[in-house]
Amino acid sequence: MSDAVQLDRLAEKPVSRTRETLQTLVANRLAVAGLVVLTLLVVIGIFGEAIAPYGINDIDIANRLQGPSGSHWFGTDDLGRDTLSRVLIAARVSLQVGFIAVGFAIAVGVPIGLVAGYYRGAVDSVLMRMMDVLFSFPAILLAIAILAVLGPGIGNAMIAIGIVYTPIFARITRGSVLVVSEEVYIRAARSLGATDGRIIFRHILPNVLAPIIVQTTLSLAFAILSEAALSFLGLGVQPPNPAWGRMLADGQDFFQQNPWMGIFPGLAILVTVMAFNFVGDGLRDALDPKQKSVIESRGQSA
Amino acid sequence: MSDPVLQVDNLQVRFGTKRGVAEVVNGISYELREGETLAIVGESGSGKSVGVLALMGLLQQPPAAVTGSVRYRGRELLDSSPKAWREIRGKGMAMIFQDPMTSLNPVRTVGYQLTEPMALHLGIKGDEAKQRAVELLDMVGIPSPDTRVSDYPHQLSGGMRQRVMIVMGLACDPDVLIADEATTALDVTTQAQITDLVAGLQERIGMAVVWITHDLGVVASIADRVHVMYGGRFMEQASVDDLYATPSHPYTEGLLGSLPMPGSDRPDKLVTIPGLPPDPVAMPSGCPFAPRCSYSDGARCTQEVPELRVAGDSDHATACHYPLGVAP
Amino acid sequence: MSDVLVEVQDLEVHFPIMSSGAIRRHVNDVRAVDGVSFQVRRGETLGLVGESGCGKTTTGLAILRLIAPTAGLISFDGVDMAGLGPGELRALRKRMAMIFQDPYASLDPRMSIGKIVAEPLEIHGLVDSRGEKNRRVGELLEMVGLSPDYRNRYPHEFSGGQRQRVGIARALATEPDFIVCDEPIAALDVSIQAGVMNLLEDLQRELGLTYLFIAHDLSAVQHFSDRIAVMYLGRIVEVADRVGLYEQPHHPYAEALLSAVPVPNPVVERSRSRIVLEGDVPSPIDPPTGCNFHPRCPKAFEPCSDSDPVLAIVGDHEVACHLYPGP
Repeated sequence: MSDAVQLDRLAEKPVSRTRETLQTLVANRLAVAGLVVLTLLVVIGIFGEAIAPYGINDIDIANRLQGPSGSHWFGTDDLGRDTLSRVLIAARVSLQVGFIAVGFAIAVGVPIGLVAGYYRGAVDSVLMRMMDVLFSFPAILLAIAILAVLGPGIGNAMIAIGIVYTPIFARITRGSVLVVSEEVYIRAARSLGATDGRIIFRHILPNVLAPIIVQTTLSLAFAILSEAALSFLGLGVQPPNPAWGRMLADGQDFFQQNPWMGIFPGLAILVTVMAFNFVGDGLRDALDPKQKSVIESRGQSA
Repeated sequence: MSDPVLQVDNLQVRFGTKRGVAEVVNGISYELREGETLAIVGESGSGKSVGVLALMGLLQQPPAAVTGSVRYRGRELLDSSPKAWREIRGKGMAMIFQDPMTSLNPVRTVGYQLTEPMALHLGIKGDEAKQRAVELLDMVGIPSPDTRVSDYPHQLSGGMRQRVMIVMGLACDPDVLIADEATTALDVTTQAQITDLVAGLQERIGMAVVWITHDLGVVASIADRVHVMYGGRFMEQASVDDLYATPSHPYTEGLLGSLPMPGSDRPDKLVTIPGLPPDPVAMPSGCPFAPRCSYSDGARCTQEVPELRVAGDSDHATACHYPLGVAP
Repeated sequence: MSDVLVEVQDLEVHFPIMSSGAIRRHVNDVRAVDGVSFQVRRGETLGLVGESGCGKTTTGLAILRLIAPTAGLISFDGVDMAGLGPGELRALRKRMAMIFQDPYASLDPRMSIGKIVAEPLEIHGLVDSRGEKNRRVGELLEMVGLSPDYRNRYPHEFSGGQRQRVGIARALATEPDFIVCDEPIAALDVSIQAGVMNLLEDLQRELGLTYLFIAHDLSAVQHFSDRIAVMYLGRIVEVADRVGLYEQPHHPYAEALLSAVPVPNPVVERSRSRIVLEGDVPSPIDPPTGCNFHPRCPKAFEPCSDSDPVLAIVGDHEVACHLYPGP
């Protein structure tokens, strides 16, 4: 049989694109470091209270404004509350806001992009002009404006940030859809009699996931920063619940007496955002279609 | 007989890849004489294009590693400095490629790209260069050359762009033209125009041509001698008549048999060659064609690489332990 | 049951060119297909041959309604396709299929080849159970010379020739009557082309298929087709059976085209004279007046620049040329 020779060429197990992507990703050390940090963060987010040595409201005026010490690794704030515990528990808030806000943005933005990119024409124009309007506002201003209408609070902060990031997902999805919908395999699907729905969800969506995934990690980083900014301004999480941005703001007031109060929440934000960025960069490299799979490149002419 | 213009001896090209060392060209040797047309025939993966890129010093080393000898008019090229290469390229040896759109600079006019090598190699500049450019365009049959000279590549059709590329190659009267799949992407009527053009120019200026292609029809119409390449080696080499009339390598036989021949008789089935070309990173031991060869003995063929040996006639050589039509 | 499976009459496909700027106006058309008529008879292979820009691929796409025709009639088994609603059209798609040129682009890279081949079965609800689906997929893969064990592999793990076979298996899934083969071997290596062509021939015999074989490789078309239609700049210039076209092409373009194909036989090549055309194919945006070919035609005379020649029956050929005014 003419393909007998090929049999020994195939890898032992079917190599899907997903598997290849993961293999490339774990080869990237920075990305792996980022993943480790993020996993740690999620664990902290879930088990915060169990891990934290103190409660978030254990006020201890006698020991206020201390630097790092044996009993308080990150020191204490202006009310004597343990900074480490507050930083750990605030992680949950940051992650919650980040994931839910970005989840909202994806749930609204991606379908808009899919429809705009697939149907084009008037539908595309109307949808994308709406997105452009949102996009043209500086993110924080838009979030503040929305919160001015909805009122402050963690739930509304999630919605506000979600709305702010919807246009970027719509745009990125639409761009990829414009390219993918021209591919021959889409035309082939149409020739088989596939409905638009099948084409969009079974063929187009899986093939436009790559930039969406990369954008997700990057947006998560920004969302967390946005939350920090909002709570810094007093618009997000309300006291006494800790949030990194809020803690930064408070730390600012007491910087002279105890700089550590602001440094640690700031570091937490930094490390988290960097971790998301490393993972995002690693994913972008791993998902890059130009980087042909090793097996594919074998077929190239010499 | 005069000395060969180009002499290639045991040329080898290896690439370092993630999966290992790719043996792309595995010891090819040939000579090119003044005014002759040599065709190197092979499919994708045979190493034919990499072989000529090495000839022109166009491979980055590393990741490529080029060994062997390439002599142009007796002068060894492979250890030349970049400066020496620049002197030879365009003037002594020129190359034209498959896709004229990506080989021509889209942001420079045709005239600029023609006059550039002239200024570099012949010291001709300004109006004199432009005049010569117009003449060259005319020579290759481009209508209204005096206006075309100021056009950009995208304003010309595929056939015209290919002609511009040819003329760029010829601007400094090279001795050797290397055409790497130069007509593969063209329509058959345009291809006929281009092959005619090159042949005519060859007669006029006495240029030798190395024509790289997979198209056995083109080879039959333009070549004097043919080398069949597979797995980085020459399987067979002969004059064009001998090769088509009495192919002695099973691969050549398979290739010729797989072609649909125009004509009233319709063969029932085309000959197929089962399997796939070898993976340069994992070249089989012995003859590279053995895994697909229906004449393979399964022993010697898979263990010992056959040398190119002349089979009786001094011009016709085959790399096969059991060449066709020859008693073992 | 009529002899004719597919009928095309005066097909036109024009792509509008819009001006750029705030208000886009329709300034011109790319006349990709400009009045094409032919019939494909049941069980035959009709070759549609021509060079780049002649409109052959667009014609194939229009027949399958993957592109909307601007004018003209396309009927399949006596049914006018223009009058069909979306549901009826979808049902009709079971009976026709397409094989695409680029084996690297015509398969969804994210789907295993088993899923790719199964998709038409799912779309038309042709299998009731998963077991039956698997069985049918295995059957189809074997039919094209691939092992059913490969069903979970992904396209990028295969060579060009094998991917093309997957495309063929997909096309056969709904047991179509008619397959449009759009340059099915152009992107393959020479030694692989023969295998795919043999496969297509075998399948035609076994399954009673009717093919429209679109290609620019005249040798392949000649080997494979029963009748051949030659296209130039959106129009058909000659239709003849494969022997008739090869031995006695009437239309000057068909003559030149045949002449330009190099024969893999050096002795023949040296002894024959070639007709080499001047100039390039004009743009389909601005076709010449009268006969599209007249600016390059070595035999052009007075009427050629004035009026369009009509495709007329000349002996057992159809020719659109003023040299052959027809009955």
